[in-house]
Amino acid sequence: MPTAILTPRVNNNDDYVRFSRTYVEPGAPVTAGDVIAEIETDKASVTIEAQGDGFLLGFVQSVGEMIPVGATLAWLGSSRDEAIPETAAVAAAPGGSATGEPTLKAALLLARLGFKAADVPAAGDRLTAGDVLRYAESHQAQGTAASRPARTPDPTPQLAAGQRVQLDVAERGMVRTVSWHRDTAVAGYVEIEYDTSAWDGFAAAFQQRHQLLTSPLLPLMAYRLVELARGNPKINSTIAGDARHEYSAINLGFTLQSGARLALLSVRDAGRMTDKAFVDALGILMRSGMKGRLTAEETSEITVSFSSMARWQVTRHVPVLPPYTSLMVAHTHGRNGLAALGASYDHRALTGGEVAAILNQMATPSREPGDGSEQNA
Amino acid sequence: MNTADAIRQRVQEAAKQLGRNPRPVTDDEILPETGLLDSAGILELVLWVETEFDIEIPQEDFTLDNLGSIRQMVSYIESRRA
Repeated sequence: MPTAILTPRVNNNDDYVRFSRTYVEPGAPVTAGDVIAEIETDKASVTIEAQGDGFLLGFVQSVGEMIPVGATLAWLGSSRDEAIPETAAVAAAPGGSATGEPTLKAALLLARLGFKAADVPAAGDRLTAGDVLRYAESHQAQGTAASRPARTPDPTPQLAAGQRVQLDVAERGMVRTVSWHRDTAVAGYVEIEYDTSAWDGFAAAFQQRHQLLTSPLLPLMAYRLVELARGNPKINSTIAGDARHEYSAINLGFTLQSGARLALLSVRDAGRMTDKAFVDALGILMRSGMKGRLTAEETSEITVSFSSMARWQVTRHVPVLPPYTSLMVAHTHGRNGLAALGASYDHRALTGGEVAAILNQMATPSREPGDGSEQNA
Repeated sequence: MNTADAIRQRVQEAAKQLGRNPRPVTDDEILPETGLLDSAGILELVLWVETEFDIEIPQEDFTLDNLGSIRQMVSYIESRRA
């Protein structure tokens, strides 16, 4: 009996991946561990291996397509003559409705695809993203309009003569992030003005105390956001359906632009770090980013973010919210001892007043410059 | 071109890219205090040193004592290549 090879999840923020390449022709013999195909997201490429010996019967999807995580990618058989099952036949449809609450991923996917949780059969105790994707896949196979993803590519407009240049992975990621901001978040922006002297003095003292080669100003300000998120879970949340999902861990996103390279670094579980550990962890990530060696884990599952354009003497910028986050703080270039501290936020999760309060708290360090004690969780 | 001059030239190029006055830096000036490079610029300079001189600098060595000036960088590079 043929065995389905399913599309794996590459990172938490991507429910769809791009089928980028095949390595094996249909009908070819394969052994367990042979690489048969490659998929990619904005952040990483992942190879797909045969899970057993046999023959590759064929690919269900086409190279270049965006496919849902959990969908059947290919089929393996014990002989090259076996027939590929109908797609609908493999959709897990044990019948009945969900036996429990949807997971966060499932809730996000339900909202995106326009399904109701009660309509989607769950394979286990809770409704998972895999359940939703299987349901969506079976409905697509039946050609129902309701199963189509709400987010469809913009139609190609009629353009004057020119050259078509395919976007690279990072550029496609930016398109996706901006699209989430536009289509899903109810984005607002607030800004305060603050005196930079307290932070400048604090960062200089920290740098001197730890003999750091580079100024820790931006990492320390980002860490202040982490401190605030520890005490206020709403900062570190997203809206899923009619609920607010408060993340368990604080994964701090930090924008890195080096040359033409733009990345959002993910300092994972930053809420458990001391300030010094956070500065070091971010430093290592920045170096990896500048070398172009970031892994998918180092750029994904971000829950709250910090960005600075001070390097370019920018005095105000309105950041774009990373998907499934509610707050991104924007640091800017100061003049005459004053600077703007702004934030984009998802108005479904936070109010402008709450964000202004957060910014006012961020305007000063949580302790005095001469305080040598490490801030800890 | 010796190691110190190569680093000095790199610092000037980086400062120019950041739109800052690319003045020559002496061997003993503390680079973060020159105002020529911001933190990301210093990180990029150190990454260039790693590539140019084929060394890997661990995070714990990112200190003013090791890499704070051109003279200290040269000394660090020589110690790592010895």
